[in-house]
Amino acid sequence: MNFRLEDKGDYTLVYFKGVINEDFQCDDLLVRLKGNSTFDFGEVTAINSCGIREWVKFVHKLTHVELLLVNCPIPIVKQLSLISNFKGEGKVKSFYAPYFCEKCDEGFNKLLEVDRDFKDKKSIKSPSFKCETCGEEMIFDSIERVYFSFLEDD
Amino acid sequence: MYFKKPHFSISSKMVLTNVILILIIVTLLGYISIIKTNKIYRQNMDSHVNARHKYLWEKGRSEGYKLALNSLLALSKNDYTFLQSLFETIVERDNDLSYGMIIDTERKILTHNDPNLLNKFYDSPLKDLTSTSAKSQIFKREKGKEGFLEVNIPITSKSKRWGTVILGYSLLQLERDLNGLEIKRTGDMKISIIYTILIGLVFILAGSLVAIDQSLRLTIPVTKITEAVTQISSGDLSVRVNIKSKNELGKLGDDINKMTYEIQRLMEQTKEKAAMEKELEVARAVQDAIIPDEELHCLKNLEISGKYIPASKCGGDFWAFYSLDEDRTLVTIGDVTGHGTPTALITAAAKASSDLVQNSLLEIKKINKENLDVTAKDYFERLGSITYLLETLNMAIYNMSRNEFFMTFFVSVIDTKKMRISFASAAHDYPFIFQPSKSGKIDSLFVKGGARLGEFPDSKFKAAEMEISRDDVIVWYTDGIMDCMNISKNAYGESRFKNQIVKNHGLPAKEIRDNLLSGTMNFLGDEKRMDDITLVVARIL
Repeated sequence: MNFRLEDKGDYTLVYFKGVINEDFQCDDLLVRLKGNSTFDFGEVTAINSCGIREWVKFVHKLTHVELLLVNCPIPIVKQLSLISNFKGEGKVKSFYAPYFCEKCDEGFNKLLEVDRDFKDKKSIKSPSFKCETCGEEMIFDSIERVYFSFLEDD
Repeated sequence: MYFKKPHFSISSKMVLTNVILILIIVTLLGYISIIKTNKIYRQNMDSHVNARHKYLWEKGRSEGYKLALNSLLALSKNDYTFLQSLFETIVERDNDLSYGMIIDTERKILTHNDPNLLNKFYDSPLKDLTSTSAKSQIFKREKGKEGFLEVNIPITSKSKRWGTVILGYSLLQLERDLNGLEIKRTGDMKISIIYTILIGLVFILAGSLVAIDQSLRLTIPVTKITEAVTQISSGDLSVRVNIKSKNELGKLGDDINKMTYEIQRLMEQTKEKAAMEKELEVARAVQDAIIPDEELHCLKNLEISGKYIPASKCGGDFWAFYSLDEDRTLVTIGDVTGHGTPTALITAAAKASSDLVQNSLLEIKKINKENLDVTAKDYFERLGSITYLLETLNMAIYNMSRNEFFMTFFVSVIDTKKMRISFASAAHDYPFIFQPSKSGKIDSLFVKGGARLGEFPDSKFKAAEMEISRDDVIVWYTDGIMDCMNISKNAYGESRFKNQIVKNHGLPAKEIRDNLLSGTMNFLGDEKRMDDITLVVARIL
């Protein structure tokens, strides 16, 4: 796993890439982050159990940072709903959700925006999408109250 | 007959090769030198002969023409007395001239320095003795052992050929000169051969010394390497080759040392691996002992069947079930971070703690709580709760794993009398429940997740409850099943898995389990599994 920093003036954007595993060492990043920071997980492909341990340790040290998580892939979202302290004090801005086209027997990952797609947090429903291949309505490929449970914490 | 092939050491071979090489080179150079000396002598002798011949030819021609001119008058008058005395004088004065004569066109000797030969016929190789246009000629003639160079000058006047002047120059002096040169040549050749032999011997000696020196420089490190390799081949890997030179042999020595070190390291690793393999086998045996068998377990109003497939020799998944009483069944499932012996020990600790809690639950049930005060009642209520089981497990794993290993865990109690299922989770994947008599949709045993076991010493967990009905199917699993990726890097995903549950829900629990697993394996194809898989299926009867 590696990361890349971009100074956006009023906030710092950090791109993470690859698999978050036992080699996840971001002490250097910890020192460089100040004020508002956004973590972009768009290129993270997986997180294993040892990676979860290292990530949780890391995120709990980020007490001095206003943290925003964007483009969270499905493995990250899954951990968000399973582990209550997975994102520390951070907030999720956008994340991917699994959709499945029964006609094509193919899965698709769709990017959802928290502010756009989940205005009513009391009644969380998955937005509908049509299959890019056949145009049929796709089904949400998980259980809504489980997959979106992390939204209740924000 | 058997001849033993002679054995030569490298140094002997090198000396021998050098000597042979030098011998060949020196012989070749000597031969070339002799050939060249010989050639030079031959050229000198030839040029000497040619120069002498040319000199005699020029001299003979000059003298011959003078004589021919002076002889014309005497010949016309047939006065041979003058000519006789002239030729005798000329031959006497000229040391090179052996004989001189005039012959007529019939080859008859008209005048000769030797008067005894007068009027005799001369055996001349001349063909044309009559022509007035004949030119002067030269012949080499042998008379006895002596050689002569004979110059023939025609004597002509107007349209008449009077005869031929013949002057014979002796080649004796030339032969003497040539003999002297030949003797000198032979002497020089002998000296040249002796020098060649002496130089050859000096080179052979020097070459042998150089070869011995070089062979020693070569054979000493080679011997060191050979001895070291012999020791290595006999199993002594502590040996090291000490060659100080930086040449190829020095590098070979260094490489052998590196290779020996690597072999030593690999052997130690192999030993360690073998020991670890043994440990893993023991750990696997422990796991096999604590995980229920794969058969269908039929309880009162409930059948349950599970299967654990580790990705490596010893995985980190765990599941168990306990009959708390005839109506209540405790089902647990967990997944430890990593694989190997430590994870097996963590699962063993989880099993031990689960056993203890199950025992406590059984004991607590026996206590008559009616006579207890509120505090004691609360205490026993807490002791009898599933969150207490998680807390106990969390503490056990926290103390054992020193924050290095964590375990996700899901605990459920199925009560087939009250037709309820209560559950709590420690960051484990939420099991699926299919209730055909209700929604007809797949749902999750969802309870807000807590931390993983072993992460914090004081983690708290939440419990939840759900109604169950006859024919409900509950599926517990570890993440290995859903994260399975096929060759196209597509994950198996929830939809396929849930569809399989719906499709197979009417079958006995064991068959549902097997069909779910075969569905996953078919999707996986030949791709290697990266994680353990544990799948437990319960069916309410």
